Amino acid sequence: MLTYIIKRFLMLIPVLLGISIFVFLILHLTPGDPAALMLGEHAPEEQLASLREQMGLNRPLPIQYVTWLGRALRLDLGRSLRSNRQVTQEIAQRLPASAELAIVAVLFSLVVGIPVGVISAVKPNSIIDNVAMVGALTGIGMPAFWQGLMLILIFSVTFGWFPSSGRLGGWQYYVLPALTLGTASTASIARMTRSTMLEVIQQDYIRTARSKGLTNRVVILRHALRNALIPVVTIVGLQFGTLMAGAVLTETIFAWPGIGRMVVDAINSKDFPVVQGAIMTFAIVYALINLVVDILYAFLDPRVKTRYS
Amino acid sequence: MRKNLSIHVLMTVVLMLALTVGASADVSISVANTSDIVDLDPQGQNDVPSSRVRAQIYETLVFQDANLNLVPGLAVSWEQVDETTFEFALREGVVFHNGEPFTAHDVKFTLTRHLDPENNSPTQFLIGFVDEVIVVDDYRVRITMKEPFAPALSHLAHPATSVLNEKAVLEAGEDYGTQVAIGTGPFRFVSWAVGSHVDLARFGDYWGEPAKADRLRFRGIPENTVRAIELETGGVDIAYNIAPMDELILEANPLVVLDKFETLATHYVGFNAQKEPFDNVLVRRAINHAIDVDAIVDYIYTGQAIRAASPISSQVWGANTDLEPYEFNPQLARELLAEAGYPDGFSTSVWLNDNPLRMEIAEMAQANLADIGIDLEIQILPWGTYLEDTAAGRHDMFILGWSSVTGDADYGLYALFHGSQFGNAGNRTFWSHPRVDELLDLARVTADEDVRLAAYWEAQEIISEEAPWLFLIATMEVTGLRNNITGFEPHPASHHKLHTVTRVE
Repeated sequence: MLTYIIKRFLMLIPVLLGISIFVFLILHLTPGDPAALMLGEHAPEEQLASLREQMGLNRPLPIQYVTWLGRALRLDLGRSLRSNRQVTQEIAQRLPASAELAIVAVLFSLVVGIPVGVISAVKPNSIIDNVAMVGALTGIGMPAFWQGLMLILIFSVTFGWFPSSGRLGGWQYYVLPALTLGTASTASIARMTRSTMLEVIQQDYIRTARSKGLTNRVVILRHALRNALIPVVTIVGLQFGTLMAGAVLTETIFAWPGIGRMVVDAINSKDFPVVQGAIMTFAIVYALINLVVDILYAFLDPRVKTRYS
Repeated sequence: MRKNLSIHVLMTVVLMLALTVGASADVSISVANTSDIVDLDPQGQNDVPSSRVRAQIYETLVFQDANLNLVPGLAVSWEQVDETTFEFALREGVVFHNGEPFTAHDVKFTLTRHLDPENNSPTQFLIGFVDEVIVVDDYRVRITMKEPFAPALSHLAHPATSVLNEKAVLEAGEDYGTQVAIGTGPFRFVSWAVGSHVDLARFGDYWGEPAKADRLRFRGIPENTVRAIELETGGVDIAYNIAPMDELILEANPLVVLDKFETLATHYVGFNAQKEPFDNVLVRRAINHAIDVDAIVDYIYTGQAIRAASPISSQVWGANTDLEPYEFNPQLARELLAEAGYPDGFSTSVWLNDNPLRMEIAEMAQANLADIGIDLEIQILPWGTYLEDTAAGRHDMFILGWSSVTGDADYGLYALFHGSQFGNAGNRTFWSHPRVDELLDLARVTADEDVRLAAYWEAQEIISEEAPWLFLIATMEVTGLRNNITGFEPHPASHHKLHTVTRVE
C-alpha cells in the first residue's frame, strides 16, 4: 500500500510540470498586455516600457518559465501584479474559505444524496422514487446564480433566517452558499447511488444474503450499500475538487472570499503569478483528492487492499 | 480504522467551523463596497473600491471638499512663490497612526517614492509635473515644477498623493499596503480578511474632529442585487452604487434612504478619427444625430444619468454648461451621411469590454444606426485586449468612460483630446485640433482662472462641433443608507469620507 502511495506521489511530478507549462503558455500567448492593465487607461509609453522590463515580460518565454519554476520549487510563487501581495499568502487566505464551503456542501450532499438514492433504489418506480428523481433532475438543472438569488429572497429577505452574503463568522453564513453549491452534487450523488444500488441488488450474493435469512435492513446497508458506494466515492472525490475550484458563481453571489473568484479576477486582469499559483494549487488539491479516493477504495473493497498489500 | 477516519473528518470540519465562528467584532458602521479592495497603498492600484477605504485612512496636503473646493488639509496654507514653485506651510501636531509626527520629510518621501520609476505607480502621471521637493524646515515644504502647471493643487488633492509615513513604509517593505497601512486620517487600519472585508477603527489621536463611528467595516459585495438586499435586510448600513433596477425597489422601502448625486464621470462612444469614414466630421455628426440618447438615459440608466453635451461632467471645474446636446434627428443624420458621400450608409464595428450597461448601449446604438443605413457590429473584448488594441488604433468605434477625478477640466480634456496624448496616454480617438491643443496648453500653464475658464469653454465648443465622440451621458451614483444613518456627505469623485457618519437609535 505504501509503495502504491509513493508511486502515486511520484506520478504527480510530471502531471504538475505539464500543467504548469500549459498554463504558462496560455497566459503568455493570449493577447492583452499585463503592464497596460496594471497602469490603466492613462499610461505614458515610457512607463509601460519600464514596467514590462521590470516584470521581465521582455525576456524570452522559456527563461521566464524557468525563473518562475525555480522560485516555485522554493515555494515562492511571486507577488500579485495588482496588489503586490505574496501569491502564497493570497492563496493561503482564500483556500480555507473555499475548502470550508466545499466540505459543508459535500457533507450536505452525502447526508441527503445517499439516503435518497438508497430509498429510491429499494422502492423503484414508487411515488417516493419518482419525486426524488424529478427533484434530482431539477437540482442538476438549476443554475447556481438563479438558485442562490431565490434562496436569498426566501430565507434572508422573507423569513430573515440567514444572512444574505459574506463570511463574517457564525454557522448561519454557511447555510445558503453551501445549499446552493451542494444542490447539484446532491442530485448527482442521489442518482448515482440509485443506479448502482439497483445493479447491486440484482447480484447473486444479495440473493444469498437474503436466503440466509438476514433482515432487509442488514442486506441493504451492509451488503448492498457498501459495494454500491465505490462509484459514489469517485463521484464525491471529483465533485469535491469541482466544488473547490468551480464555485465562482456561488462565491460571487454570496460575496464569499473563496479562491474561485480570486482566479477569475486574476485572469481578467492578467495577474500571471496569481493565476499560475492558483491553478497549481487546484492541480495539487485535485491530485491529492484522487489519491484519498483511491485509498478509500481499499477500505470499501477488501480486494483492492489485498492487491496492494 | 474506518471509525477513526470519520472521526478525523468530523473533527476537522468542527475545527474549521469553530475557527471561523471566532470572536465577532463590535462593528458600528458596515459599508457594502462594490468589491473587495486591491491594496491600501495610495500609490498602488487606482480602483474606486480601494480609494474609498484609503480615503478614511490617509490624507492629502490639500483637501477637496464635497463641492470640489480646494481647502487646507495637511497643509494649512500655500503660496505660489513663482510660476513654477509652491510653498506649503504644514499643519503642526499631526501624528501618524504609528505615533510618528508628520513633517515635511514625509511629504518629500511620499512624492519621491511616487515618482520613482522602480515603484511603477499607476498614478505616477498625476504628479508628473513635480520637479523637486525641497524641505525648508520641519513644517515647510517647497514643490518646484518642471513648467507652470495650473491644476497642480487639484492634483495634490487626489487621494493617490496622500502623505505616507517614511518609517512605516520602509519598515514594511514589500508588505506595505497589504499588511500595513499608516496614514494620518480619522480611521486607522485594523485588519483585512482578503476577499471579504476590511476593518478600520477610530484613530484616537486624530488632529481634527474625531470620527463619530467607533468602527468601520467595508465589505466587498460584487453582486448589485445582493448589495441592495444586504441594505434592505440590515446586513449593512450603507451600500454604494445601487443599480438602476434596485433603486426602484429600494425607493419603496421606508427603512432605506437613497442619496443620488452627479459624479465626475462621463460615458462616451469614441470614433477613430484617423480611419475612414470617421475622419469625416459629417459622419461623426450624423451619428451624434442618429442615436436616441434620451432613450439610453431613460431605459438603460432609468434616470441614473444626465445627457451629456460636453465631454466633461457639469460638476467639473471648467465644464461648459452652455453647450446643447445634439438633437435626435435621424432625417438630418441621413442627410449628413449623404453629404459626406455615404448615402447608403456603411458597415462598421464598435468595441467594448464585458460591461452590461455598455452592451445595452451598443445594442440601442445598433438599432438606431440601422435606421440610417449603418450596419454596426458589436464586439466584446477582454479588458486587456481592449486597452491594448484601442491604444494601437485598431478600432472603428469604442465605448469607454472617463472620470475627471481631480475635479479640474484639465484632467478630463488634456489626456483625451490633446494631440500629444494619442494611444495609451488617453486619446484613443486619435483626433486632434491645433486650436484645441493651443487652448489646452494655455489653460495648463496660466494661473489666471478667468483665462483658463475661457480656454476650456472654447475648447469644449470646438470638441462639441467636431464631435470626435458620440456624447452620451454623465453618470449619477446612488448610495443607499439605512434610515438611522446620519452625516453622510457624498463626494462626486466617489471616495466619500465617513468620519461624520454615525447611527442614531
